[in-house]
Amino acid sequence: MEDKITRWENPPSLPPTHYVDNRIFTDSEIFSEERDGIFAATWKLVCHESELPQPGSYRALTLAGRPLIVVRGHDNEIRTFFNICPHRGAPLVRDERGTFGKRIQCFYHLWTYDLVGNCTGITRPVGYEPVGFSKEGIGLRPVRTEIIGGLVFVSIQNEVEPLEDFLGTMVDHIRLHLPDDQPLEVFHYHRSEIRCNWKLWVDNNSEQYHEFLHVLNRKTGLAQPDYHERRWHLYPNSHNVIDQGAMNYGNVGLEERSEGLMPGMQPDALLVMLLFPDIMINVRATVMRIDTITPVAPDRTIVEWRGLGLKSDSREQREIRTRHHNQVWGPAGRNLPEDISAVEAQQISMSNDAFRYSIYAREEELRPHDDSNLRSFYQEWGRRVGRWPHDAGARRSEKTELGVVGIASE
Amino acid sequence: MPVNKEQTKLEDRETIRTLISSSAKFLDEGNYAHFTELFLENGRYLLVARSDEIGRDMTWLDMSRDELVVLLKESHQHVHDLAERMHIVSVDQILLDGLDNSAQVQSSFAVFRTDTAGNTQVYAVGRYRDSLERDGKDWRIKERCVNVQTRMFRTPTPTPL
Repeated sequence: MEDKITRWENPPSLPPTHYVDNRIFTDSEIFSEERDGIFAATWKLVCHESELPQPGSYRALTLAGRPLIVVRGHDNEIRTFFNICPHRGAPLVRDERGTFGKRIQCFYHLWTYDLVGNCTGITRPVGYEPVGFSKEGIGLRPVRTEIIGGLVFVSIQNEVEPLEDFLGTMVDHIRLHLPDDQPLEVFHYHRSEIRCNWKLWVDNNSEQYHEFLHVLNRKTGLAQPDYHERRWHLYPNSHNVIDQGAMNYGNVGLEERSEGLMPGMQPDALLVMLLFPDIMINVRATVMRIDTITPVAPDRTIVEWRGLGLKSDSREQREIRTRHHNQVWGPAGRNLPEDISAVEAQQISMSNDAFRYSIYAREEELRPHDDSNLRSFYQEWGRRVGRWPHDAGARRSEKTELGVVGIASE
Repeated sequence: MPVNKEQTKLEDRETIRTLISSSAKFLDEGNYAHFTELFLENGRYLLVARSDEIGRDMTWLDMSRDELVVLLKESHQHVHDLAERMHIVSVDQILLDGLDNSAQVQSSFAVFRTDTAGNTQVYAVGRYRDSLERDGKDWRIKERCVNVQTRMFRTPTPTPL
């Protein structure tokens, strides 16, 4: 009896890379460190360029607590600014999306800006003349913005490495599946606040072993003869992708997905990739889903889901993609409720200290059920926040390079 | 006693109100077989929403009655939300066609979700836009389009709203 209890209280008899201290999912101090060390310090996907369809289009969002607006200028360039008027701090826009005319106007004192961020008008400027202040001396605060494959990334950290350097080899995968000459378009968007730590959602989405949770995946994927022949490809910065594998949708009475394939996809294939820290791209042959995350609290996470097809889709083709999307994903899909049930249940177990360590010890030579991709994720997480995933109470003396966690050098 | 046309219309309206409230009751009870029997054989169920974020109307479910039957039959195999749901439905408008053989009905609904600890919250609100056809003495649903206003669900679900 005693042994069985202490087994729960002590770290498992595994290498420290192969388990995680669950306080990393519940501790508010660690949560703050993640905001600064990860979300404010690296690149974040904020939208797809199809969400800014014309000059003047904008999207408003929050990144690491900072309000931002992404704007397509009249020169067709996409730029990002703090959604804050530099005069007194009022938000420049108060809705999620819209279209500017020639100017952005603050609703408070009616100062105006062009879509490049220059201040173009101050109401009653004469009042500032005695102190030599004018519109030329002020403007919107820009945010670094780069686009790959139509994905709009921003970073509020000016010194962050170029996006292509950060993504490394994943750029090739992005260009394969989101090619510039076959632009994609977002046709589905929804979001939900999930009662779990943000990392558990990444964990769930990245882990192929969790396919046992879904009856649809058990019947269409796990039973496939070559399911375990695929391999994970792990890259620096903990980005990763798994080889495509064909599903058998006929096993659950759904139609095959052999026509109208998304770029780079094989018939009926499933593809999963993670761009650290929070961008999860899933493709099921004819339709793409992209998840992004906004951490709200240690146990609260907003997940945004986008469904994408080709911009050139005919109406009929788009209807097919929409149907394929909704068969599995979307708020009325078969799998999403199951994933959410799982991660919220995990969070409850972790939040009361009843469950201290989670096990990430599967080793299958980078086959689908190998945990290497998750080990890589948590080590990268630890490197960036200056903590050890296996012992949340211990700080690293300095941010170190990754240890050996099974990362293939490619 | 002869039945005049006005009396028939009143009876039709009452039958239609009962149909709409029954559809909600069957969903609340998990009685999916009876729910799908309210649809004609060529009936259709749609769940649609508007995304302010991307400025588009979205279709979240678009199923024939037969597809809906399959989805609901397999629902017990899925890990599902353990909470109970209750619909509150108000029939706002019934428009019978000139021959009284078809009707367009609009209803407002709210779905409340009560979790296993007994906490109740509003889960979703929206409108049903039903196209009905007379089927002998009964009325059945030819198409139900659920316009859901709620887009941020506490727990998503493939179960019809």
